[in-house]
Amino acid sequence: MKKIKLLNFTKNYNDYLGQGYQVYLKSNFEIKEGERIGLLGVNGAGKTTLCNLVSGNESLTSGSREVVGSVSWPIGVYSSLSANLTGNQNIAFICNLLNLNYEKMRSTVLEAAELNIHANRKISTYSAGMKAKLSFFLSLAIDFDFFIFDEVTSVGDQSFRNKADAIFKDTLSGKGMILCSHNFNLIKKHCTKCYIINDKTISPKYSIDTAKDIYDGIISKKN
Amino acid sequence: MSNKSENYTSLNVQKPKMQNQFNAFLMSVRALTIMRIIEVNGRFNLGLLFSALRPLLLVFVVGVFIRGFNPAFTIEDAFQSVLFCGAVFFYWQEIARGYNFLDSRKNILYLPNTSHLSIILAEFCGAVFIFIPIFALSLLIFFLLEIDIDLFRLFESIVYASIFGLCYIIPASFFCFNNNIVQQLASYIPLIALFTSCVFYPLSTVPVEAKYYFLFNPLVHIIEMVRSAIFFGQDFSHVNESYIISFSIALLLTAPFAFISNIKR
Repeated sequence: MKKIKLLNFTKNYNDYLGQGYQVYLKSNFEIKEGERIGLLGVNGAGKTTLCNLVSGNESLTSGSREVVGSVSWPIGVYSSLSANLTGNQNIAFICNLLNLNYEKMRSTVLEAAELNIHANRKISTYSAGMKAKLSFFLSLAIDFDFFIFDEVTSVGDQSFRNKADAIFKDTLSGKGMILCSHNFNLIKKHCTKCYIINDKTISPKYSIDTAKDIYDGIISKKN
Repeated sequence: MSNKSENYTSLNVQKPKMQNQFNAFLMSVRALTIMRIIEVNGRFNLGLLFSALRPLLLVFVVGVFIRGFNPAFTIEDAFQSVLFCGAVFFYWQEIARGYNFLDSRKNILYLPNTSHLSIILAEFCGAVFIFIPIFALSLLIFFLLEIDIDLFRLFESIVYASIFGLCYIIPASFFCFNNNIVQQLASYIPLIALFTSCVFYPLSTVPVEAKYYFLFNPLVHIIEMVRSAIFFGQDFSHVNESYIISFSIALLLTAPFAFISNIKR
């Protein structure tokens, strides 16, 4: 069965002088094929770090990472697009990297993102919403087993959000998904279970409503 | 438009073709190299032309400058003594400038199949492709001016510059990754190298007491190797190929240490 499992892991960041801070201490995380998991946590709790650890972009300080299946890169506002290349060139780059059909990918992505007329402009001239759209549809047009979303729909217009909703329901059905957001309604709409990240640890998997109650409790404590 | 958006349900997805790890690595180097060449092409609008013009501009400036002191020195003399040295030096510099590419391309590290090593190798391959027309242009000028050159020796100097460049960039990029202080220091190295690598003047013009120290710089050996391919009959016995290789290997041996310190951060 396809799954991603981080077992008993710790993550520290050190500065040049060897001093640093700890983001996770002996925590566990697991997602199985077809599961849709939301990540809740206050700013700086470690949601983005967890996305990076799950996708393999950052290494664990200790613990083990087991991955069966293909995992997308974290899809977010700060995307993997190259600012010096145009939209078309970025699509071509991803196709070269993953051995995909460029023409097919180009027509799919540009049509979905409604960026046909901007395809030959450099990414550095795109607005945040345009970048998010291109990055989102470019990533979603590749058939990964697990998708990681890091606040991706927080920018973008209503049309983009409608499309994103439709894709979450249809294209991603049967796929594993990690959705990291401060927007609880979004998590409720698309996820079935939820982890709460607090105090360097990850909670057990809660149902959405239970997670909401616990998370509200954490917020009110902080306030 | 809004109806189209609301009725939108699925994407035409593609499955990445399965490849073994080595093939995936080669594919990523290829893709990153193409990206690098496209980026350079876009720099200053005519970036590749700008890169090609750099050695020529250098020759022109040196020629004009030296003529102020020595009217017998012609632009042809400048071409002969500086052109290919400049081309080889800028080639090394193009590779060496990649010390901060890991930082500037951090977002690409998020993509599947990419790694630190594939990015560095792609930067290196990009520099090779970018400089092929520049070397060709330099050679063309030599042939037009009917200057005799030892092609094999020139090729040898390019190979040594490549080896030294690659062995420099691997540890340098790891040391510089996420470290602004080291990046600042590293940014001065190509500039210092420009004035201490005997690009503008042959080692024979350097005071005898200073020669010994100049020869610690492997770039001096490489640039003098270029001169040895152009100026026949002069003494170039100080050029030591094994020193370039030993220095490069010593640099490369620091890479694991740099990598480990990088991972710890």
